[in-house]
Amino acid sequence: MEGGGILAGLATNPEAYLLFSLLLFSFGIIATLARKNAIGIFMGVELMLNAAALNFVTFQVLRRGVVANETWLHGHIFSLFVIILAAIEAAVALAIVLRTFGSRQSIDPDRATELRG
Amino acid sequence: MAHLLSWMTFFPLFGVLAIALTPKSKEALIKWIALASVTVPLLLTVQVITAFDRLNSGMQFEEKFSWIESLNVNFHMGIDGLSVLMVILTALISFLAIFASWNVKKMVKGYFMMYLLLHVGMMGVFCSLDFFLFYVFWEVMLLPMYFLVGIWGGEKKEYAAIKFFLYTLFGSVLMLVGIIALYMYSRGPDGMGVPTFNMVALMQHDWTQYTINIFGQQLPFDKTVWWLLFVGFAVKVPIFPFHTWLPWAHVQAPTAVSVILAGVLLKMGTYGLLRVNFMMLPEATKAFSYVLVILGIINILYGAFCAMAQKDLKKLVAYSSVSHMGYCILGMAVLKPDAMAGAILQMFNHGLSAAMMFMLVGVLYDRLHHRYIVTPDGRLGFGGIAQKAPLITAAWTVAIFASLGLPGLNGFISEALVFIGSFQAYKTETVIASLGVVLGAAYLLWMAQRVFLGPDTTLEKDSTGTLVPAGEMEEPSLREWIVIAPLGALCLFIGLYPQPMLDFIRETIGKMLEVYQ
Amino acid sequence: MDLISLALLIVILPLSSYFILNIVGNKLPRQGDWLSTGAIFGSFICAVIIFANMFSAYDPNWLIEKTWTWIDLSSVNIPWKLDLGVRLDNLSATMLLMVTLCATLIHLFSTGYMRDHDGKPEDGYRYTSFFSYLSLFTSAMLGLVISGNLFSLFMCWEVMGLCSYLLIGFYRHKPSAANASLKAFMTTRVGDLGLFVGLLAIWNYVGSFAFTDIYAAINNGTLDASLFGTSAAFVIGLGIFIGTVGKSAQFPLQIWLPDAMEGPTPVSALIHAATMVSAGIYLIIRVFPILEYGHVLTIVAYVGGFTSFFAAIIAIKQNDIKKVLAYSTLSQLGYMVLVLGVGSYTTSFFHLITHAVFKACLFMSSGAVIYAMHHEQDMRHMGGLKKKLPITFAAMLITTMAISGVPGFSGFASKDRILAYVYGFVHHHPQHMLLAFFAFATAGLTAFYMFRLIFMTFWNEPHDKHHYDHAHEVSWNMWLPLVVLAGLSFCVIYTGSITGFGFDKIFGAANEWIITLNPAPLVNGTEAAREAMEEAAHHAHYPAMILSILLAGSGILFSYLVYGSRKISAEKISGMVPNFVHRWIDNLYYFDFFYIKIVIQKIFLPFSSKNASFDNTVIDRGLVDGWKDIAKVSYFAVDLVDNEVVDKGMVDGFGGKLPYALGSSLRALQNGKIQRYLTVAVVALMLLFIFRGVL
Repeated sequence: MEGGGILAGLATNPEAYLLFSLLLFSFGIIATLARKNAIGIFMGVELMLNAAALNFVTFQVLRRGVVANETWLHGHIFSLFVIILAAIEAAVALAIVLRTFGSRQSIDPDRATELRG
Repeated sequence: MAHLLSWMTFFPLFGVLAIALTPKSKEALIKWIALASVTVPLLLTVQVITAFDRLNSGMQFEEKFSWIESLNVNFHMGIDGLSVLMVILTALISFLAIFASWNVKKMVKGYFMMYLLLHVGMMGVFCSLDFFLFYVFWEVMLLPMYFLVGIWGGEKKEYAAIKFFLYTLFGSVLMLVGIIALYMYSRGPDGMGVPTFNMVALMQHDWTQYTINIFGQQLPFDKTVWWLLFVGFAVKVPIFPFHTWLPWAHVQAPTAVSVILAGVLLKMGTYGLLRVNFMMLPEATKAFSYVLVILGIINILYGAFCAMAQKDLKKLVAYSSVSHMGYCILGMAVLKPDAMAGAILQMFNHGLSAAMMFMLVGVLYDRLHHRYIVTPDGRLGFGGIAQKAPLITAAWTVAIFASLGLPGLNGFISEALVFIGSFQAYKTETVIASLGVVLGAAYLLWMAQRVFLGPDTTLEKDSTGTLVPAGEMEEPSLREWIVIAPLGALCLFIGLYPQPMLDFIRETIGKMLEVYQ
Repeated sequence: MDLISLALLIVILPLSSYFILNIVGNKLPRQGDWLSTGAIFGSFICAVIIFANMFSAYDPNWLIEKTWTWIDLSSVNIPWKLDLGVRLDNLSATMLLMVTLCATLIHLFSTGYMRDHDGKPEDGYRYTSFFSYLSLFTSAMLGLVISGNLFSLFMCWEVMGLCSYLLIGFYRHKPSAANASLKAFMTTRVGDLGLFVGLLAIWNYVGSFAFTDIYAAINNGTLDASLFGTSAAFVIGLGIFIGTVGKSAQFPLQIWLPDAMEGPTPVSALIHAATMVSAGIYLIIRVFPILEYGHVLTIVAYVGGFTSFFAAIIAIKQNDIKKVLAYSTLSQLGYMVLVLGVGSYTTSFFHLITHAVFKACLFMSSGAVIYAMHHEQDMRHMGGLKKKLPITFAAMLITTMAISGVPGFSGFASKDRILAYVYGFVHHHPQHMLLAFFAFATAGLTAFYMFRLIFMTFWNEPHDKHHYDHAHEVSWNMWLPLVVLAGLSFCVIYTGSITGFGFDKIFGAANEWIITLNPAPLVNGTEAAREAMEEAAHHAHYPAMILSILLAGSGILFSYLVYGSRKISAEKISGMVPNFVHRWIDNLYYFDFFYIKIVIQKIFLPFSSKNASFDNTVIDRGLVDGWKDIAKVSYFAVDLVDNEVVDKGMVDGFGGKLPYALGSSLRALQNGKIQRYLTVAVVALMLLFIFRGVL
C-alpha cells in the first residue's frame, strides 16, 4: 500500500471519491435533463461518463484490499474504454451538432421534429 | 481461383465502398467504379465456364464455413448445372445494364450503390446452398430494387415500388415460414437430431414421413410446406394471379432496372421453384405438377391476351414476359428431361430477349419521351419509325423474332423443347398451350406494324408534355450498341447452336429427375 | 468433295452472303447485289453437280444420307438426342436444281428491276437489304429441300416465313404492305401450328424426326396408337397438311397470297410462285406415306380441288396483272394438292416443277411489263405492248401456253397426268364426282383467264398513250431470265429421257425421267391400291387428254373472242351473271371479311381487351389492391365492435371517463421531447432502486 499520493488517499478514504463521483453524476443528469442546448446536454452526458469511470477506478482499488494477490485490472481497463468512447462520442456528437446548426441555425433538440409522425 | 463464387458475389461490395468514399460531384468516376465492379464478376464467369465440369451433376466450386454456430448456419456456396446458367446470366445482364444506366441524372451516387447491392443479392441467391444465406440474399435483393424503382422510376414510381415491395414481402414471409418448417423438421422423426439449413442435406431428407398440425388438421408436411414455398416463388416468377406487380414495376422502373428485372429477377422465382420445390419436395411436386401445368398454360395464354390489348409499349413487353415465363412453368411441371431442359434454357433465353426488348424500349423512350403504341387520343404514338431509324428497327426485329420463337434464334429452341417434352405427358394441354406461339406472333407483330411500319407519323413528347411530330431520330449510340449487340448475337448463337448451354444442365437434369422416374 | 458437303455448301453460300451483306453490304460496289447473285449461282453449280450425279445413276432409289447430333440432352440416366441430317434423293436433287435455277435467274432479274430507269437503286441501302433477304430466303428454302428430317425442315420453313414477312413488307412506308406482311406471317403461322403439333406427335410416337425413321414407324405400326380419339397417323397427317394449307395458301388459309403481291415483283416470282409456296407441296410429297396411312388423302383432295376451282373463278375478274397471276398460283397449287389427294404424289411433284418454271417466268414477265410501264399494274391501262416488248411478249406467250396446257409445252404434260389421275380416281369412286368437275373446269378457266391477260396486255391498241410511248424493252439482265425459263417450258425437257425422244415425248403424252425417278414411298401394304390407281389412270389417259385439250382450246378461243378480237362484249357476259355472285367473288367469297372483320375484330381483339381490363380491374385493383379495401372493411368492423360493445357497453359501464383520462395523461408522455423521456427513465430507475432497497 505504499503507492503514496492520490491512490494512497483513495485506499484510505474512498468515500470522498465515491461522493465526488456521485456529485459529478448528478450534475450530469441535471444538465442532460434540463439544458435546452444540445451542447449542454452533451456535456452532461460526458460528466456522467466520467463519473462512471471514476467509480470503476475506485472500486478496483478498493477490491485490492479485499482479495489477496489481486492482479486483475478490470476497473482500470474499463475506465480507459470509457475515456476512449467518450472521446469518440465527443467527435461524432460535435459533428452532428455542427451539421444540425449548419442546416437549421439552432441546436435545440426539441425543435428537430422532421421525423415526427 | 479460390473462393470463386464469393468473389463473384461480393466483389461489387468493394464498389459500394469505393463509391461511398467518392464525392458525389464526381459522377463519371462513380460510373466507372460501378462498371469496374461488375466487370470483375463477368470476367470471373470465364473461369466458371472453363472450369465447370459438365459431366458432374453435383455441386461445384463449393465453399463452406461455419457462420452462426448456435443455429447451425453455414456460409455455404456452390453451383450446379441449374444455377450455372443463372450465374452467367446475372453477371452478363448486370454488366450490360450498367451501360443502360449511364445517363442516369438523379442522385448518381445512390443509384450505383443500390445497383451494386442488387447485384450482390441476385448473385448470392443463385450461389448460396445454405437456406439461411439464401433467404438473406433474397431479402438483400429486395431493398435496393425498392429504391431503384421508387426513386429513379417514372410518374407513378412510389405506387409501383410499394406494390412490388409488399407483394414480394408477402411471398417471402410465407417462404420464410416454409424454410423454418424445413429447418425444424430436419431434426429427424425423433426430433433429436441437429437441425440444418444445408440445402444439399435437405434435398436428401425424406419429408413424406411427417405430418403437420394446422388448426387441428393433420396435414401432410411436405405438401403443406410446398405451397408455402410455392407462393413465395410464384410471386417472383410471376405466376398468375400473382403477376400484377410486374407490369407496374416494369413500366415505372428506369430502363436498366427493367432490364435487370426481366433479365434476372424473374428467373429467381423459377430457380427457387426448381431448387427448393422440385429438388427438396419431389413427392409434393409430383402431386401438384398438374396444377403447375395448368398455371403455366394460363400464364402463356393470359399473358398473351393481355399483351395484345396494351397501348403502352413497355406494358406490352411486360405482359409478354408473363407469357414467356409460362413456358418455363409448363416445361418444368411436366417432369420430362427435354421439357426441363427447355424450361431452364427458356429462363436463360428469356433473360436475353426480354432484356434486349426492354433496352430497346428505353432507346425509343430516350429519343421520343413517351411509350404510347396508341396515344390516349387514338393516334399511333410511334408509327413508321423504320423510315426514321432503320438500325433501331433492325435491332427490334431481332428481339421480336427471338421472342416469338423463330427458328434460328434462341426462343425457338427452348419453346420447342418444352413442347416436345410436354406433349409426351399432356397432349391436349400442350396443343392448347401451343396456341401461345400464334398469339405471341400476333401481339408482337401487330405491335411491330403499328410502331415501325407504315407512313412516318412518329410523335414525340416535347418539354411541355404535349405530343408533337418528331424530328430526326438518332440511331443507337455506341453505348447503346454495347448493350444491344451482345444480346442479339447471343440470341442468334444459341438459336443455331444450343448445345454449349445444354451441356451445362443436362447431367443436373438427369439427376434431378431421377427421383421422379 | 462429296455430295453431302456440296449440299451443305448450297445452303451455306447464300447464308454467308446474307450475313456479309448485312454487315458490309452498302459499302460494296453496286451495294453488293453481285455477291448475292454470285452466291446463289455457286449454289446452282453445286446443284447441277448433284443432279448430274443423280441423273447418271438413273435409279429411283438413289439415296445419300448423313446425320449429325444437334441437341444432345443425354445424361447418365436418360439418353436423349435430336439429330439433324441431310437427305439427298431424286426428289431433293431435282428440287434443288429447280430452286437454285429459279433463284439465280430471279436474283439476276432483280438487279435490273430493283433499280430505276437510270440504273440507280430505288432507295439507298434498302437495295442491299433486298438482296440480303433474298439470300436468306434462298438458303432457307434450300435448307428445307436438303433436310433429312422434319425438324430442320420446320426450322427452315419458319425462316422462310420470316423472309416472306420482310419481303412482302419491303415497301414499308405503305400501310397496305405492312398489313399484307402481317397477314401473311400470321396466316402461315396458324398453319404452322398444325405442322408443329404434327411434329410433337411424331416425336412422341417415333422418337425421331428423320424421314427414314418415320417411314419405318409407319411400317411397323407405331402410328396406329390412338390420339385425340383417332389414330396418331391421322393427327400427324392432318397437322402436317394444315401446315401445307398455310404455306401453300390453300382453302381456308388462302387469304394471304393475293395480298402478298404487295411485295416487289421479283419476290412474288421467287416466293409466291416458284419456291416458297411449293415448299408446302414438297412437304406433303415427303410425308405422303403418313397422309396415305392416316387416311387424310380425301380431305387433301377436296381442299385442293376446291382451291383450284374457286381461285380460278376469282382470277377471271382481276384487272391487276399480278393479282391474276397470284390467283392462278393458288389454283395451280390446288391442282398439285388435288392430285396428291387422289394418290399420285409423283404427278404432284411433276406439276410442282413445271409450274415453278413457267410461273417464275410469268411473274418476271409481268414484272418486266410493270417496269416498262413505270409501275402501272392495271391491265386496263395496258394493251398493244407486243411491239414494244417483243422478248417479254414471246416469253410470256410461251409460258402462258404452258400453263394453259397447250400440247408441246410442259404444263400440258403435267396437267394431263393430273386430269388422268383425277378422272381415274372418280371412275373408281363415283361419290367423289365433284373432284373431276373441279379439275376439268379449272383447266378450261385457266386457259381463259391466262389468255385474257395476254390479250389485254399485249393485243389491240394501247389504252394509256403516255405510258405506252415511254415503254421500251427491258435490259439484258431482265430479259435473259425470261428467255431461259421460257426455253425450259417445253415439254420435252421433262418427258425426254436418256434413252431418246419420240413423238409422244415431244408432245407430252409420255412422262419419262421426272416420273421414273420419283422414289417410291417405302410403305408396306399399299402396293395393291397404288397399282389399281395406276391402272385406272392409264385407262383414263386418253379421254382425259382429249377432254383437257378441248377445254383448253375452247378457253383460249373464248378468250380471243372476248378480249382479242372483241367480237363478244365482256360487259354483256358479266351482265348475265347475277349481281350477288359478282359481289361474292369481288369480296373473295367473304373469307377476308370473316377472318378480319368478324374473327379478329369482333371476337379476338375485344376478347383480349376484355382480358386486359379484367386483369387491371379484377386481379390487380380487385384482388391485390383489394386487400386494402378488405383492411378498411375490417377496420370498420373492429371499430363498430369497439364503439358499440367495448366502449359503450363495457367502458361506459365501468364509469366512462377513466380510460380516457388515463389515455390522455399517458398521451402527454408521448410528446417526442427527448428530455422528457429521459426524465421518465431516470425517475423510473430511481423508483426501481428505491423499491429494491425497500424489498
